[in-house]
Amino acid sequence: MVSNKTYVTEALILNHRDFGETDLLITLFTKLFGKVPVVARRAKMPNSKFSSGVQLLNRVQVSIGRGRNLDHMNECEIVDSFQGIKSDLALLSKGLFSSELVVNFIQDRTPNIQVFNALLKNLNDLEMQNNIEQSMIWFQLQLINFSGVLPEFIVCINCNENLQRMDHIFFPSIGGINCANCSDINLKDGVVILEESLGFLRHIQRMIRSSKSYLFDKNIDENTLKDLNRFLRIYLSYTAERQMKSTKFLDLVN
Amino acid sequence: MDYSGATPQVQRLIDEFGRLPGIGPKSAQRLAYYLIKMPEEISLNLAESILSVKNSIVLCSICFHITDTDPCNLCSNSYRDQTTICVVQQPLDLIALEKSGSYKGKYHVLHGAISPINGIGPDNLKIKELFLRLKNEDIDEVILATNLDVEGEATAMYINNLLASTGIKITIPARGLSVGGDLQYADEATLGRAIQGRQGI
Ligand SMILES: [Zn+2]
Ligand SMILES: [Zn+2]
Repeated sequence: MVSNKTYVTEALILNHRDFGETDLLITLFTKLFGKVPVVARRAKMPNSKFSSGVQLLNRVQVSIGRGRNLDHMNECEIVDSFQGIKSDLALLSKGLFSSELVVNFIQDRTPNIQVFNALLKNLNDLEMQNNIEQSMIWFQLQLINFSGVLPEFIVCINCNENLQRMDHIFFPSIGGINCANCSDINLKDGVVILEESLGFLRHIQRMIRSSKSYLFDKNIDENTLKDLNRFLRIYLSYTAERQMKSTKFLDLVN
Repeated sequence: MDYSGATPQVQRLIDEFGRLPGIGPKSAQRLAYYLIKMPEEISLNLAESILSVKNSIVLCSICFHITDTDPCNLCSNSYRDQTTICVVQQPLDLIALEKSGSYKGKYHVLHGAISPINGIGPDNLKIKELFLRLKNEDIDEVILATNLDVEGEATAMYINNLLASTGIKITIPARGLSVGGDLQYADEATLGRAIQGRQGI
């Protein structure tokens, strides 16, 4: 039943915090309505109808009542609780990192079904232990793409010439790389990006531009993965204007 | 909410009440005006008891429970089982377990759970202190009685991983406690059964 007083949607549980003594304020990432804060009454009580449903990273079907200030949860049914992720600290730290990225990059109440699907795919990959490292990188690129801040990896940001196959210096402030002819000494805070990493990022950029789905069919060696993760972390904290809090735990258990 | 009509002092009192758990803006207002109408000696008693609690309370230097003597009564009670430590997130969890009357060993209060999204990692909890105790005390069993939510279970997993090589027996409360929800709100009978029927991981 959907009326103007209630709405029903699929959602992922991104975060929660105490709200009064026994309630929780849940950050839901709904498929149809985007990110929505919702009060789950008495969810801290063990016998509550919400306590198991509102666990972090759960995929749920929810019925939500519109409130004057805050919406509240009427029903919450688990579709997938991702037990595989939750029983492994390394996987859990990755899932929570992805989820924190969404909290920071997606505006409240702005539907974003592509990012919803990307996060869901990422969680499914973690659960199935399917190309975990590549899935993490792919998810982060999807997120920055659908947030409208995907940098340019294929051509020089100034003259549009194809970039040579070599290590380059990327500047977050211009969202790309200057070729040797266009190098600008006034640019600050450049990040070295290895030739192999750039090759992979170009591959993904082409996939995204042709709307093809990435099948994790590229082999990425350990060193390149490390470099990609380092690069993405710098770029994501630059665009979000803050460090993700969950990176500390991510680094501790991986 | 419209508070017009309250003097700045009254508004401050309302705001302070509003910080308390379970107190919404309406209740905060009600409490504040109730207090104003009270005889002066009663409100003085209240203010004094709040201050004296704050001044006399410390964390036990062994188990980190809230106490007015250090070590706390539980740590200095030699009749309790000295070989078992039950690890809980909050002092209120310890109190709930004590009320159940089903556990007679020692405790260790972590003061929270690992919560990566809130930037809370092992370093922000009394985990190092737990390992120090395990080194110095003669402990045979550690019960991981953290909350049955993602953060509580992650905390238990983290401690369990670090303990794996020590040979200390590690147990968790038996099933019967429902997923999610805070341990402190579980009913005494269920909690008692869960702690008595604890099982190895
Ligand atoms: Zn150029
Ligand atoms: Zn103590």
